[in-house]
Amino acid sequence: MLADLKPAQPTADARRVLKVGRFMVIGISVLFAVLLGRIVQLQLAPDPRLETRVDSQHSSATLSARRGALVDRHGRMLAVSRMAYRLFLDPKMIGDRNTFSERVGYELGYDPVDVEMIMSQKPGNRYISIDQRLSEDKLARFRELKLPGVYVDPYVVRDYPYGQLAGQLIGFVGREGKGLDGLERELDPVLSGAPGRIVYARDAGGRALWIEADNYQPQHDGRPLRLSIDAMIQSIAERELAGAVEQYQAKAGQMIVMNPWTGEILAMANYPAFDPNDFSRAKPEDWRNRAVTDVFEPGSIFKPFIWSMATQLQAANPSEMIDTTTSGVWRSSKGRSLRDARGHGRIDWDHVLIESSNIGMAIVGQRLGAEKLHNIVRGFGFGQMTGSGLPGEISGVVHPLPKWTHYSVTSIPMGQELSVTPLQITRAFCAIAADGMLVHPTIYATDHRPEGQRVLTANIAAHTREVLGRAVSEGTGRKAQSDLYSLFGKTGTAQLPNFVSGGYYQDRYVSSFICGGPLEAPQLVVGCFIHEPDPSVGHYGGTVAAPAASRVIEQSLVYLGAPTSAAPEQLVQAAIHLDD
Amino acid sequence: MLRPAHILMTAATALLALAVVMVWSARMTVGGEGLAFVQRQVIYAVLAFVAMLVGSRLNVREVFRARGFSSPLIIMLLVSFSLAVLTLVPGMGRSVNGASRWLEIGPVSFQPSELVKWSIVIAMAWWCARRGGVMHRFADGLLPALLLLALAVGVVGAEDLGTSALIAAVGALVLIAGGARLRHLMIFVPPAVAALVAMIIMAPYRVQRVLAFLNPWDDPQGVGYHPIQSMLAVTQGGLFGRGLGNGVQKFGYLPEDSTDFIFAIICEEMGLVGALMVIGAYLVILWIGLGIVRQCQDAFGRLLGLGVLLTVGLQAALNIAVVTAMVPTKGIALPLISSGGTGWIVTAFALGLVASLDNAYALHIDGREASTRTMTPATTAPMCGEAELI
Repeated sequence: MLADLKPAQPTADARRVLKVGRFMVIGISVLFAVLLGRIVQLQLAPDPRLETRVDSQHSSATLSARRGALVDRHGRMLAVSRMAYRLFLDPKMIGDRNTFSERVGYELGYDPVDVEMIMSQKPGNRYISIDQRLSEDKLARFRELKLPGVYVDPYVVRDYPYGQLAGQLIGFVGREGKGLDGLERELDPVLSGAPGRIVYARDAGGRALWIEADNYQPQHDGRPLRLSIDAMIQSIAERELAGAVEQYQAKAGQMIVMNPWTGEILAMANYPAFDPNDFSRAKPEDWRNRAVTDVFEPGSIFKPFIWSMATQLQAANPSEMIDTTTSGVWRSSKGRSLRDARGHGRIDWDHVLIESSNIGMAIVGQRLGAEKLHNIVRGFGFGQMTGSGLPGEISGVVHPLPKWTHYSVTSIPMGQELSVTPLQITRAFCAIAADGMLVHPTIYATDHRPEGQRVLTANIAAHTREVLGRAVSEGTGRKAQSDLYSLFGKTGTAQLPNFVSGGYYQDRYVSSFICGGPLEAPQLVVGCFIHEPDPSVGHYGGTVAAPAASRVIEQSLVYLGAPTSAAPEQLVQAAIHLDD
Repeated sequence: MLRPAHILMTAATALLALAVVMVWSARMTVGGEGLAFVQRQVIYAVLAFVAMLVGSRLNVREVFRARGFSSPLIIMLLVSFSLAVLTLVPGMGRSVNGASRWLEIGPVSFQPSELVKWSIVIAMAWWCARRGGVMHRFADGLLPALLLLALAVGVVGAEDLGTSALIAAVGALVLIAGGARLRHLMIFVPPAVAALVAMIIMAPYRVQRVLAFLNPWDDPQGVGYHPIQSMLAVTQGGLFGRGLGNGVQKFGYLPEDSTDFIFAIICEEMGLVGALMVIGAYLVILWIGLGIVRQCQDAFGRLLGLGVLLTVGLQAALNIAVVTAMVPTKGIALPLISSGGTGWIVTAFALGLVASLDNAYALHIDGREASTRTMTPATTAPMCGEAELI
């Protein structure tokens, strides 16, 4: 087209301009069409390497889920997560070096010398933490201050507002927010929730622009859990337990308070106590919830279970007189020699339990025979997990029937040759309190009575309670008597078995007491177990454990508003006593 | 009555309006600089619109009729050339991306090469119109114009190869349209190519740009960065784009996002539809403008209109080719869109001159109809461009 152009003529120049114009405008239009094609090509079939560039324009972040709180049955916070702020310095951002530490010290209340020291210890470090948990007022001061070089870093911490209360039961959480012990560990899947994720576009400097709409996955916060624990009863139990252990200079102790009808554990105290807020400073053995992780040979405290079942199976008649010897020494048909604390002579079957006669129990044990005894022991849940779901729980030891010796029929009725956890035996006692229904202990608050398993008839259970009430009012548990409530209970003073040389230590005991109340309509069962009290101060269960258990059940029943059987003038006395 | 001038100015105004929005979007940053910049852009756009209206009301033939040093053309050439030379003086020019192309006078910064570009279009048209009879001759027809063109190309090309190539192409096309012989121009192709090669060798960054175009993935963080980021922006758009303001590339990934590479941001945020709108507007300007040129009866007006249209069309095509990585990266703005207030004003004014040709023609038609009505024979056939300033 251009080649056709002739030298311009004055008359033809308009045509020439139009020719060039048409040619170029068509050419540019074609060029635009090609460029549009190129745009379509880039959009439909881009270089795969471009895709990797797109990825680098996005970042993802994890949205941490809030850990569920652990609350007691009335919603009191036992373990709760919150944001804490760590105060740190970035020396590179500090403006005036000379006055910096004084400024920080003066404004935020730290010792300038300490600040200088921490900074000099880590030269070149751009993250120097000077306060792990900034207090509220310091945080407010910090926000006003706006001093370059000082920053806060938010993170989630787990608080245990009641400190050591139920410390071993609740356990603790590690720095990364993972449950490491106790319920915190056991319930971690429920409490921790599921973290969320966002993908966001970022600019070339890495700053976040916006969240991509289809890439937001919200976190699922952990569920709060309502425990069966009552913080008030727990604190009563811990106080009384500590008092008893310290008074008798014992090594350790456990106290359990249960609702016998629902199996709810209202308190589960351990001594020595431990504060989950500061778990790293406690000895690891003190982290253990020994109410479920440790066993002991129960001794006399075991007798009510055999006694009640023997009565139900009519191996012994409540009015039957049994000769427990006047000397207090008796020889079994297989030639085993047994002792009572003192000779009780001919006593009725009820008094065998009231006086806690080993000989009486052994005589009836022989009548029952090994198989029935074994069924009784298993029937009350010994040698099996209680189903509480508490972490670290063990089943205790009940030997299988074939391993039983001729000693067993006399040993088992007085609580030897087997070992139980404090929770197991407290739970078994609940069956006596709850008209013979054995329920599974639980750490969760429940609003309904679970279907229990009947182990005793209601009549036999009521009769056993009555006899155990007499054990408190006139027998071995006299020191557990309460002015406000009629209680029923059983003492236990078991020698520690010597696993090295066999037999038993002569001066090492587990002093225990389990009681329930009020006798007329049981609401609570309390088990108290004191390990190795100093025998020079006292070692009988009735002396060491009974008063503490009694005080716990009494105060707890008052707290729960249980009707008292006491006369008005006694109530005045009791109120004065409680005021002390 | 809707006339070609109205359509042309409407298309130009649409591009200006889009420019304000897109420059605002492209300047978005984390933190942001508030509305101050946008206010400036709006003021520039309004000034550009006013400049276009003024241009459309000028009698181009009258304005450039004067000869000698009183001619505005001579003043324009002198001023624009000296300013372009001034950018080469160390300390005077503002350097952007290794090329010193900008001058700052008070609050206004602009590229003198822009002024040279439009001065040359006018100068070439003027020369061809005056020397229409002898343009087929080399010595007294083509050569003086060619020397001026070569001077302009040389002055601008020292710092801005893209614009100087554009000036050369448009200048040559106006000369051909004005009657120059093609073979006369061909003589200058070998030395032009030689000069091009020499300039590339002298300024290493141009070589880098060429290399980056050939294979950007060899050095995606270095010379390949521009084309890759630009292509990336285009690919992200799809049919309707991410939506106005929703682009990611402008956040520090794509340099020159509000100026030379704004078309990539348009593709990213408005997709293929946005690209079609922009290209469509240019095509309207080109074809409507061509219609105006065809009906214009004045040689100077025709050539001036053609030069303006070709400048806008070629520059737009070149810019989009750069953005889509089809040609090496060069500093060429997208006319009426790329941020840079003085560029908008000058370009809008130039398109206003094209519109003035149609206004003059309309006056001429009206005048003829009026004279027909009064039964007065037309003594002189007023030529396009003879209308007085209205």
